[in-house]
Amino acid sequence: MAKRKKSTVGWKGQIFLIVGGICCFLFAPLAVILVVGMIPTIVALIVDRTDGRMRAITIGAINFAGCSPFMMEVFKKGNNLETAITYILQPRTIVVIYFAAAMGYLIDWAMTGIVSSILVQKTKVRLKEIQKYQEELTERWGMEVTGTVPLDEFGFPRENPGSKAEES
Amino acid sequence: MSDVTVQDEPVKKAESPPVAPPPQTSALAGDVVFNESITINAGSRLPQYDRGLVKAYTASGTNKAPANLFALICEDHLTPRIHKASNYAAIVNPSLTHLAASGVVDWTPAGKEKYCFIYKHSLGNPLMKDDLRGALGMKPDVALNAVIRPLVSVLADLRDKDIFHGNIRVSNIFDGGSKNIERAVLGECLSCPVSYLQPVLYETIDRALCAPIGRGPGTSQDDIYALGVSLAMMLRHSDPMEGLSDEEIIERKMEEGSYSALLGKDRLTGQILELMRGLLYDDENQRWTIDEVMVWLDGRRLSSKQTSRRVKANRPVTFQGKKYSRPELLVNDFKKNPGEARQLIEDGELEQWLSRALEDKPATARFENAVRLAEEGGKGSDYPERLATRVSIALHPEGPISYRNISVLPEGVGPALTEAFIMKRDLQSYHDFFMNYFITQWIDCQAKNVPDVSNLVGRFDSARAFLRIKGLGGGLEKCIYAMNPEVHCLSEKVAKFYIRSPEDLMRAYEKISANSNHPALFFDRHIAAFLSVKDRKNIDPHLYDMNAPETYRRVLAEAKTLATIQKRSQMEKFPGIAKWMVENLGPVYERFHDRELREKTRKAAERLIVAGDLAKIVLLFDDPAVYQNDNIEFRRAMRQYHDLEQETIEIERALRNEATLGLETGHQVAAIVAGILAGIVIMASAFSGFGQNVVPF
Repeated sequence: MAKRKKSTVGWKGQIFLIVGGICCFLFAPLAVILVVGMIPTIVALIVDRTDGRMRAITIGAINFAGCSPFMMEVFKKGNNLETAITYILQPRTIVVIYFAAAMGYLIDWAMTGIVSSILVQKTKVRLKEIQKYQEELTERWGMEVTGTVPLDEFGFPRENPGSKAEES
Repeated sequence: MSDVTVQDEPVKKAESPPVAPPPQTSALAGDVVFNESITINAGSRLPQYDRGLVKAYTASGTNKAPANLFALICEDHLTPRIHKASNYAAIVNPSLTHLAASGVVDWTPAGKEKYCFIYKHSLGNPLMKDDLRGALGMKPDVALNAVIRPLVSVLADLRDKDIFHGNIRVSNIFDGGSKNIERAVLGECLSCPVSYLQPVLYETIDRALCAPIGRGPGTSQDDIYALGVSLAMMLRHSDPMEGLSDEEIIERKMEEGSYSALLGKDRLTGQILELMRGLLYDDENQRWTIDEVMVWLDGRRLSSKQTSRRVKANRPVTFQGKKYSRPELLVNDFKKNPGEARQLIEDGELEQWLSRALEDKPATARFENAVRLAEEGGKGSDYPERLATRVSIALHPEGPISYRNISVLPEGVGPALTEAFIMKRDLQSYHDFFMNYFITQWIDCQAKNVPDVSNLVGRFDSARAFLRIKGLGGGLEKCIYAMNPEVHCLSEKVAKFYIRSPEDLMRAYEKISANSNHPALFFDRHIAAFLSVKDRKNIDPHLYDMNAPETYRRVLAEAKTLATIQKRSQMEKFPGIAKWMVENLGPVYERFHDRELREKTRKAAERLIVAGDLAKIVLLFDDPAVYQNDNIEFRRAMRQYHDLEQETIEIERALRNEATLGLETGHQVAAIVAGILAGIVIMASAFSGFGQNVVPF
């Protein structure tokens, strides 16, 4: 018996789609603004290869912030579809929303650069600290502490000249 | 043979009466002070009082010490009888040389310490200069009053003090400085091993067959015999044994008996004849005792005893082309050619001679047992020697144990071994002598009870055990000190000192430490053996470490031993030894992993040098917790180092892609910043939007 093909969306996703569908139906004007306004975020989600899609999240957050004044305006003016289409067809709306998305990308680029260079410097400093500490350990405990010298059961070098009896 | 064997030396005819020669002076040697009260004049010799290689010098005392003295400076290879000195000094008898003092003196002419005996210089001249030949022709009544009475009283005193003199002979009996002998004075007996200087003539037949160094402690009966021989020399008018060798003297004594051999045609009469017969009985059981001599001196007559002759075969046996009728003489020559002796034994010729010509059934039984014992040891390369030795014990049980060049009574093996060691003679023979364990056979063959037999067997057992120990604290060195308890330490490291106890050793080390070229380590085989015999609690617990291949263990074991001696003997402080010890501690510091701990311990040890308390220095290294903690910390440091290594590898790997380093974190930070900003904008829009136009433009 052929196995039934597994659904790609889980039960949580299914609930989310149902709730989302109902919301889109109830708040169709807001959904229109959101769908058009969040196109940069959708693109970012598609092209983002970072772990956890952090860049898309960054862009998406600012992009959503750019959409939010227009959504509130539509909602305040009766939440009808004509108002929403009027707003979305205005170039000003698109410019504002997409500029916000661009700001999101800029934030991502700037913060990544800054944090990365700070971490590189910090790592280099740590490397020097490790080397210094290792030198201190070698100075206090001898080359035996490095583990590169063959040791006897007591932890002393096997070829230690002082360990063998020298006739007086 | 010993360098000082005198029996066969060509000698000058004795002159009579001897005149005391003046002291021989030497400009090279000066005064040597002994105990701050006696000065020994090293440039003024007294050859008439020499004891072979032991030389006599004039000495003078100050304060309470007598003014007129002479000193005998002992030789290293001839162990003096030091333990008898206090008993000897306690004897107050005008006919015995009075011991004024004895001890170790810094003998500057030799540049080393020597043991010396200092006697009152009132001996006069020896009655005869030649011990072997000549005759004094002394009248019996003069001999009785001037010699016999004084010397018998001396022998009684010596017996009471448990001293065997072993040095009674005519050259050691003096006139006391008077022209006509009024009271003879007996010379000393302490400066050489027992009977070492005694010619064969003065020894009983059995002891005469021993090497002089190996005769062992005798009995007062042997002194009685020597007195008899000395009296015979004084009383006789001619020498019946003139020109005879040692062997011929012994043979003559066996053939004729000592009395006849010594007095020849001289006819003694009356009471003196009775005395001389009593003194010169060859059988020790028949010989008079001191008490019997004293009874005789009191004028009482003693019943004569039955004389018994030694067994003689009715036909001789031939060995090395010489005919032998007496087993004692035959087996005495076995050591000269053990190979031929083996042939004689294995051919059955000897057994036949024993049973038919000698008709001595006990000797035959002992012989068969001896052959069996020799065969038990295997027929290796040394079989002929072992066989010869065992057969000689069987056929002459009263005689010495003769093995290769050794010919000793069991009690005399210690001094013989000591002499062989110092004179660098063959020591392998002594090794084999102990390992072959002839002692039990010798004891089994004795007709009379051997005194303190368990002690004797125990000492030979110990010697075998010592020889199995190859490292420090064993070997022939330990046999020397165990078998000859009076010998001083023979180590090269302390060659300039006469060390008789662990305390002496400590003081010698303190002096040696002042020299910059002192040896690195304190102990060698001799010192370890010496200490182990003198007081095993000092060193035996540390011998295992002392034999370890690691220097640090040897150094620490030495330090612990020295500290133990200082503490147990409650000795003074030794800053010199402490400094020497601390100089040696380098490898011990290295047993700490922690360099800081090493330095700290080194400084602590150096601070303790001045105090000279060795135990405190040792205590620095005696706490196992210190080593344990050091090891734990070291292991922890190793783990830390390893973790750091791993971290370095990870960092270096990350730095190889420096461009991507921190990107992920950067994205995360950017997301957070963006989220916060978005929140602020949305909130601001919400608050302002419901009051007026949401879109501000």
